[in-house]
Amino acid sequence: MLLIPCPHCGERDENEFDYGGPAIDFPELSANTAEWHRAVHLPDLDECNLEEFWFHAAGCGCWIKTQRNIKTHEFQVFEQPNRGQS
Amino acid sequence: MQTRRLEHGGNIDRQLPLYFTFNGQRLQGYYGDTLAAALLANNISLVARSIKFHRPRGIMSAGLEESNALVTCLDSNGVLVPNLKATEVQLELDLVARSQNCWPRVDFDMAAFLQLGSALLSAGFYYKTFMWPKNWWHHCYEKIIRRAAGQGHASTKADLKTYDSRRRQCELLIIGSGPTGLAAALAAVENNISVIIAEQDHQLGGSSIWEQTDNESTSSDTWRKQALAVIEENPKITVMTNCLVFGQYDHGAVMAVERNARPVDSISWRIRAKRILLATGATEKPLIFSDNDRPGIMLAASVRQYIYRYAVKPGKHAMLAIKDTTERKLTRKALLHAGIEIAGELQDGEHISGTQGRSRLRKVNIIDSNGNIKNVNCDLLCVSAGWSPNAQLLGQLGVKLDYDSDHQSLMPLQQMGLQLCAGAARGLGQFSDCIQDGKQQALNAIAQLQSNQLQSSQSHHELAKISDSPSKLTLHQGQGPAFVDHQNDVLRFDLELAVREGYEHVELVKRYTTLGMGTDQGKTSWVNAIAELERITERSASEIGHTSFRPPYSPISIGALIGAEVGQHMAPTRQTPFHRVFTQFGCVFQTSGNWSYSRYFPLADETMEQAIQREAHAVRNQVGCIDMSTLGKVDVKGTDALEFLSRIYCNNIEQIEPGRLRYVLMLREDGILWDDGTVAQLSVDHFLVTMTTANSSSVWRWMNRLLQMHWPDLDVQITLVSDHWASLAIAGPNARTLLQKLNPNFAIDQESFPFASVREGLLDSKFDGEFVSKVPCRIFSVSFSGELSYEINVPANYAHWLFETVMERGEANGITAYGLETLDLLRIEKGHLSVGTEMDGRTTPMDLGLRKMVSTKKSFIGSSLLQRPALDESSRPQLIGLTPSDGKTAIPVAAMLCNQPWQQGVIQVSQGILTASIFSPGLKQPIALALLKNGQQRHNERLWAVSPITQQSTEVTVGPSCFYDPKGERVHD
Repeated sequence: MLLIPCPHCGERDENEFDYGGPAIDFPELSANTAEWHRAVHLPDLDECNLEEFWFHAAGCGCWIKTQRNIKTHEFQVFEQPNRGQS
Repeated sequence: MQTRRLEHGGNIDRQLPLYFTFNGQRLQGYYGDTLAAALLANNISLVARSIKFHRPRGIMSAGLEESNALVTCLDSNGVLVPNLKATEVQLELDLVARSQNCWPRVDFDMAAFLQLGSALLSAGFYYKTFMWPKNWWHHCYEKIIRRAAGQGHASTKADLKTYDSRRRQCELLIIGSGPTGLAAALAAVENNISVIIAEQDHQLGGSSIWEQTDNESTSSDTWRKQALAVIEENPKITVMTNCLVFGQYDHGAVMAVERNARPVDSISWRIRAKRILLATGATEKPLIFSDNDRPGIMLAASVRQYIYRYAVKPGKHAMLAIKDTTERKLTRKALLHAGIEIAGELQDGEHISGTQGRSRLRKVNIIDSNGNIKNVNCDLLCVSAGWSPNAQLLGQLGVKLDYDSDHQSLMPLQQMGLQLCAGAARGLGQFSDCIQDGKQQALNAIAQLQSNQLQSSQSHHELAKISDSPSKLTLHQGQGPAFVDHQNDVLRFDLELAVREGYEHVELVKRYTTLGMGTDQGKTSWVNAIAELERITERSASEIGHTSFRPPYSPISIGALIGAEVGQHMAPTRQTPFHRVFTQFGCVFQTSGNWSYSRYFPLADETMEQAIQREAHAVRNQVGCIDMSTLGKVDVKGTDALEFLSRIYCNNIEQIEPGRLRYVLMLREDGILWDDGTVAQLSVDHFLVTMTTANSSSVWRWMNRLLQMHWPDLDVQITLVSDHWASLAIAGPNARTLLQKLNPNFAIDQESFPFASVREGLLDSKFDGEFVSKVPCRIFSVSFSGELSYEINVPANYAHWLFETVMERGEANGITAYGLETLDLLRIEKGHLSVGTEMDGRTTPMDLGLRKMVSTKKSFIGSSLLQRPALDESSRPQLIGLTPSDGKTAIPVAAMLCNQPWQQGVIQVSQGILTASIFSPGLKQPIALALLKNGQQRHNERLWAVSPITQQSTEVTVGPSCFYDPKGERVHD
């Protein structure tokens, strides 16, 4: 029952969001197999601060990228690259 | 007769007598009673039998900590509810309750009579005893033990109560409404913040309802009434009674269940607060001595509560064994008030060596410091070893509570995160201290809210003072069993045994002895157990620690957690725009995901099989129509739209032209096939893409993620238009003739409207030479059935018109509505893919024989990882078709492909699995699709389709996956 700080809507309840998993930086589509393998299967995960994607499905419809301390659930929000849907 | 009811006083309504039934006996209580209070008023001391030893048990406390008096009640719907504490059941008219864990009666229990329990059942008894012979466990022991085990019996009937789940939020949530909670609320009133008070009792006040202050000048009753008057008037305070907060979660969320709610029976509340004040009070600790479980041995404060709150005399002759002097004084006063004779008091240096009495306490044996034994005749023994704060909710967040040796209790920090602790919940005892602390902590919380700061205080109970430091628990030796956990019959001996056998860690002690695992969650036993372990292991209590506290704090009904989402309401039901007209047409629906989807359309008294054969025959030979509205549809616009689609689909679609469409495949990043669909180009920078019903929301989410997070530089706008269109496919040799009858305002001959095209226009712009109506439409010439087919899309509110018109004008062409069952037969005949069967999250396009559709000229999502060599190995399962070698035997569903037929006891290595098996109406023989290792190179090989479940096997011949019109000529016609 987290409160997730959506940069567009403010702090909202977890169940408004779909979880997008650890935030992955995509390589170029043409990047080689080894590079894609690293990005998809071996992302750098901090043991404490996890960067994640969330989709605010029942809100603004935007994907957001957050950093969550997985021990305390303290959130930080990144500046969003997206232009938003709304 | 309420022989034990006092003439005056009490917080009960004597004008409202309530009749109820206990163990078949008709009894009377008053409105405001709990079941326990009413039983005591009727002089019933024996209420239950204990779980292991079947010892007679009475009422020990007056609250949620009760571990003895468990009863089964009959709810208003006639459903039995087991394991309710008599102390938490509000008395209501015609309540039916009975004792549990006894047969035939609570006062004559066969198991107790036969001494079936006895000392045999020490900790670990089952583990040690039922080990050999090994296979006896399954055949013999388990069955016998299961029958004897367990507390109460759950009803096998459906729960007919009504539930709901709701939400609330506030700035300050106060849990508990005793003096601390009320004082905190009063402080909050003055600061104009929104407050919720959650109280598990049916009225506010907690101990101030009944406790008499030792200071005569301030009556707790007067104080409470003044406080309530202020609180009830204030609109910023929401009072929730009958509302048990049972769980504490992250970011200020708590879960609570409101019982006896309106208009449903129970409501589960999810409350989100900025600060949470635990004013949850404390639980009195019992004493551990021989035979400390007899009916009539009660916690001292509970005795006072029965006297003052319920005007009940729990006994006639009382003995006191209370450590704290203030509490001793209060109890003495209460007993005198009720006219109960004080038969004796346990003095310093004395201890109890045992008790006597069967269904009621008769005698207490005392040993004084010189070793002399004396007996005290009494029917009530008031015990107290001090108090332990109710800080379990704080502990649920994973915070370990510290053991305080002065209090001999677990003590919380004053504040953890958003939670503050106040009053007795952090070790304060006095009424005036609690009021002062409640106010102080509320002001702390408010100051934090106003400055928007989190103060993380490390201080412990600096206010905490106890009137008289209690002496260390002394060991009372005696002959009888000394219970630490009454509910689970855990003895002091069991703790010693557990430690002796190496289960020293507190979590292991719990699991080995079951201490604290009952419905009371060890509220009265855990703190005592820690002191016992301290003595046994000679380690300090802080080293011993405590077990994890987890929700729920006290048992709650699971129905309340589910709320109203049961049966049909478990998930929303989605209906397509054709639903109503299909219903009129006699359609049989089936649930597919959230969708209610047309399954088949029976005529008169047709069976499903007959209907399907007729429908399939019509599609193959004349024309049929089917609802395709559940497919996901996304409108894609922008100068980079084609670039975007080219990146997410693996096909070569760069050469697409306006008016044409392509069948496309979407891969995951790891190269595995995820979804299929079509891309139709409507104009230069405008596309409509479709995806499978099952994946439509996840593909939509994925497209959004790519555009927003990964490729924000692309000029693409996407819109989900799945629900905007009603989509009806007409398929069969007569499809074009029928489409012409719908009067499209564009040419539809083979040359002008070839296969794999899209047209936008109007239907019925002219009819009988005259203008009738104009229906905007998009028509796609695509085929899932393998026949000439048009998918007609009209705005959703034209669905009714479209279906009726198609059925009416197609009558001469043999139009037949068909459903999901027939659709599946037709696609299996064609070897077309379906999500979840062939596209099972493990297969690549190559596995499914779609290598040609994977572009080698461009990069797309999944292209890199698809090149991993193991994904293109010939030993991978590949899609093939199967026919029975004899041409007629049915192929078992969900079979494995093996070299030999099924044989009892023979284990074969599976070479492949079936994904579909049907009787083909077109080929008039059974056919199947399968994923077979290296299957594409094994055509004409003979194998056995083996089903170990049905013990059937059929010899099959491997062949191509497309059984019908392999060249695909029929779609062009």
